[in-house]
Amino acid sequence: MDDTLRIRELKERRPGAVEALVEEFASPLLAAARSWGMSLPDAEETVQDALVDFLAALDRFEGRSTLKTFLFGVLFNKCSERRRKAARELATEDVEGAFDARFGLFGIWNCIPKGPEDEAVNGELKDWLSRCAEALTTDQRAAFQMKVVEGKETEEICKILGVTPTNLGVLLFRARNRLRECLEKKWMRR
Amino acid sequence: MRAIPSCEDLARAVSDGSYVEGPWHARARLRLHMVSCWICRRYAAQIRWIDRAAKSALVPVEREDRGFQRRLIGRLKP
Repeated sequence: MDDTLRIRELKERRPGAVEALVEEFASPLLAAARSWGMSLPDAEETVQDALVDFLAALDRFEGRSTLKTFLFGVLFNKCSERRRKAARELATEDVEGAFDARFGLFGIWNCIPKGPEDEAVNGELKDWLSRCAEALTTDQRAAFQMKVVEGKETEEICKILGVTPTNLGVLLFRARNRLRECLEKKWMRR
Repeated sequence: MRAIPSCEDLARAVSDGSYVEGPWHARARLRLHMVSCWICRRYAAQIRWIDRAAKSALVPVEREDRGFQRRLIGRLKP
């Protein structure tokens, strides 16, 4: 359905408008919240809060992005807010510090990075990766998830996260390096 | 980035995606470095592995849950 028409129906509280919105977006929103690191009960509550906020903010929707992108942006803000409140966000400085420590004078490697390279992605390695991903912050996880796993366009991701393409690059850099550092530790203990 | 990219520049570009999506002249300089540096090639292979593994390990699962949808509608309708 056309976004303008849908927005008008929602604003006018036409019968069936909310139901249609829920039917189309509840599952993808729930899947997104789960993939950004939320437990199922938290994800369900966050989707509810996001939809309540979305309906309250309908007047502010200017059509600069699609309704779907706008909705996912509201969800992302809710997820970040919730995880911040739960104090689950970890500092990012450790990623930068660990990365910088790998290089010596003139930016040359001073220790060889270790970890899986050519290995098939088996159950054990998948499990490692999933556990390592839990340590990512919401913005790092969402950026990595949308760009790498789902292959979304940079422009759409930037609209959802409310960041510039350069900031998205920083988030991807931190996400990939946090995952790599974590996998390296597990790899060395193997 | 320096005129002649260092290992650190290359590792950063591989991780933030500019190795693939950056301007052509920057990518050309980075590729020249990659050809000559086995440690950077190893690092890039690890990042590629992470991306590949994530596509199967972190794939979002969409499940239609009618109960959840009903609860949502109940909360959203005045």
